[in-house]
Amino acid sequence: MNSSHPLFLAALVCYFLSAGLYHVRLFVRTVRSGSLARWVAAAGFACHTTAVVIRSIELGHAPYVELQEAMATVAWAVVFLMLLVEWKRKTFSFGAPAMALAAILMFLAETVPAYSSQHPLSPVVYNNRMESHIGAIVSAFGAFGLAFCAAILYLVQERRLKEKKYQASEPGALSLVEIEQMANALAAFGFTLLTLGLVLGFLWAASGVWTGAWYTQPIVLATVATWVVYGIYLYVRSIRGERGRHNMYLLIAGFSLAALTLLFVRTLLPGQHQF
Amino acid sequence: MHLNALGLSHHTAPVAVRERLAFPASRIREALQALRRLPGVREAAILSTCNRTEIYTVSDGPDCHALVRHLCQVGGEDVRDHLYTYAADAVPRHLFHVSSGTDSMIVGEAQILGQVREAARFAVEESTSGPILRRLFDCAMACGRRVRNETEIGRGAVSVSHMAVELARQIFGRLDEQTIMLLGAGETAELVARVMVKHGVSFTMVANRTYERAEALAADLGGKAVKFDQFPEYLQKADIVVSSTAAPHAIIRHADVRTAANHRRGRPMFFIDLAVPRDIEPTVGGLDNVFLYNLDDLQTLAERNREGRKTELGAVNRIIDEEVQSYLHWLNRLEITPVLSELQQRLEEIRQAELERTERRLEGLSAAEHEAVEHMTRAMMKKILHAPWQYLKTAPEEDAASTLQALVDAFHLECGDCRANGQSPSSPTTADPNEPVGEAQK
Repeated sequence: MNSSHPLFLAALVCYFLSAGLYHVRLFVRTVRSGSLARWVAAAGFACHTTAVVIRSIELGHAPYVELQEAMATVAWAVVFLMLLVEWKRKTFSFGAPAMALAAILMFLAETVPAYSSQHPLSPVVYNNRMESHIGAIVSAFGAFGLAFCAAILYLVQERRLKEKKYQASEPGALSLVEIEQMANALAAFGFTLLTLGLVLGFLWAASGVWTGAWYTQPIVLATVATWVVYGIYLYVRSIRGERGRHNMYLLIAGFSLAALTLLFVRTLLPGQHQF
Repeated sequence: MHLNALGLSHHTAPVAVRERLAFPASRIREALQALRRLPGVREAAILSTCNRTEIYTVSDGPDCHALVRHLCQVGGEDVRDHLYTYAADAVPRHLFHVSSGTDSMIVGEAQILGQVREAARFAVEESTSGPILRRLFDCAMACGRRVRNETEIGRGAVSVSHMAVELARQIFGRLDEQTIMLLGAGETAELVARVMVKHGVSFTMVANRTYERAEALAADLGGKAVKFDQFPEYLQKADIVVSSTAAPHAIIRHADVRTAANHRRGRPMFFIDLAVPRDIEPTVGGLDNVFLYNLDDLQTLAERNREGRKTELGAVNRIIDEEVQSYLHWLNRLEITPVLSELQQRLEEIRQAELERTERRLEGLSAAEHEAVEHMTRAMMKKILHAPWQYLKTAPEEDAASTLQALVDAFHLECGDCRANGQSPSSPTTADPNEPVGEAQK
């Protein structure tokens, strides 16, 4: 029996509601409407966090081994980072795309079939190092998710300014340059976490626990491909100093690859890798 | 007490009249003291801006004749023809419209809120404002803030120069790390540059066909002059380019901007073309990370904002209605305190008299017994007064007014006369009837 499930559902409802309110705010554009959307997001986040804690206690380990749990954790990371960014920058800019992304991820987490019921976890395989490996990668995907939202915001705002579809500034609204800087910071943060997660996984696999060619597992290859895309982005942005629209396409491609890795690689290209 | 407002504004008076009644900061303290010395004036505040001069008073009488005479002495006899007056409920409504920016020349402008704050500050510092005006101005500022937060009346620039600044902010955010290049020294371009510098733009380059003119303007703006024929070399250093030359053809070419943009590696460039005929080739706007706006674009956007502000007036009026009701509710409640204070005093007199008579009959009471009787009678009085106090604080306004009148009639309270005339107390106390009169009056 999963006693945290009602809280999980409450978080799902709050995320959808908050996404709706943030989208309404795009037209209403008042501080009050933004605050309401943010409070609903925060309520959903509180329910989600409580559900994660209860589930961890029930399972005896962090609840992101299942595919749907991993997706829910990515949603949790997206909402956490979104609330952090909005609170620090006193802005409502990220709410609409970020909460929509979180709501979709939570919905998928609720609807995709469980995997571990057919493939129970081995205590030998699942240990603290494994937990850190998955935790770091899932958190990285959360940061990439918000960087993806920033990239979408950038492209929308750039097109609006190019086409002279003016919209009066509102308090806390982020400029094009600020959105780009935010996207870069999130991508760099996610890349660091992903690197850490991959290294932990490689060390664990190379320690002899894994029998066979772990490095040819589809999910490993797909995650490395994601790492390469963000690596290219950071090279272009930080070393070559290039900015602008093309970088945003790289961020969108990177997160699309991460999402595909999360959603389809496990089901379409089965391997020995858990979830 | 009577609440009045008297003044003139851009709606009623030309600048030639307004300037005679303007009170600059250096004269406002003296003017406030002069108002305070007028007969019957209890509280006074002056709101003086370039578009209006308004005097708010709380006075003993309902008419403003003394005030009008005073203003005519200051500004001349013809000032009288341009004055408007507001009394009672119309005063907060007018001031709240002023602080919300709906009465301003440029609807929704934000500067007025600071000017209302200054007016309140001067009145407080000169001790010419009492509780009624203090509360009035506090509510006006709260109303102005609410209007700006809850509606779009103050959003969007309504002039070409401020529209340019707003667009620059939407691209760059903070302007204090940006460099602006000014090409030509047209009046509008210079104004845009000055507004940009005022909003923090850190470095200015000026290129003009007359180098001396460029040098003079650059010195004025705190920047540097550039030879006109060399400006393409400096383009890559400019985040914002404002062009307004009299050239008969485009002087900023697509190829030059593309080269500059390539050097900038994707850092955005904002081009503002204020010249007619245009100075910048229109295809420049199609380059990556380059944003091009011409004079027509900025004027159209500013005009759209002006129209947009007017559509917000309905929502603004609803907020003002709520805030006026809230203020008037507070003002009406002010009447409760003096009535109850007088009632408390009346009961205290009765208590003291009865206590004295009782003590004469009960000779030989010990100090402890005397204290017990004293305590008991005081407690009885407090308990009797507590119920009407609580009721009056929470009852609907009309019920409270009729109950108050009943108390005045039943106990023959003197302040009933002033209530009947619709007056408010000049210095209300907030004493609870549970406190003895002596302490409440301290």
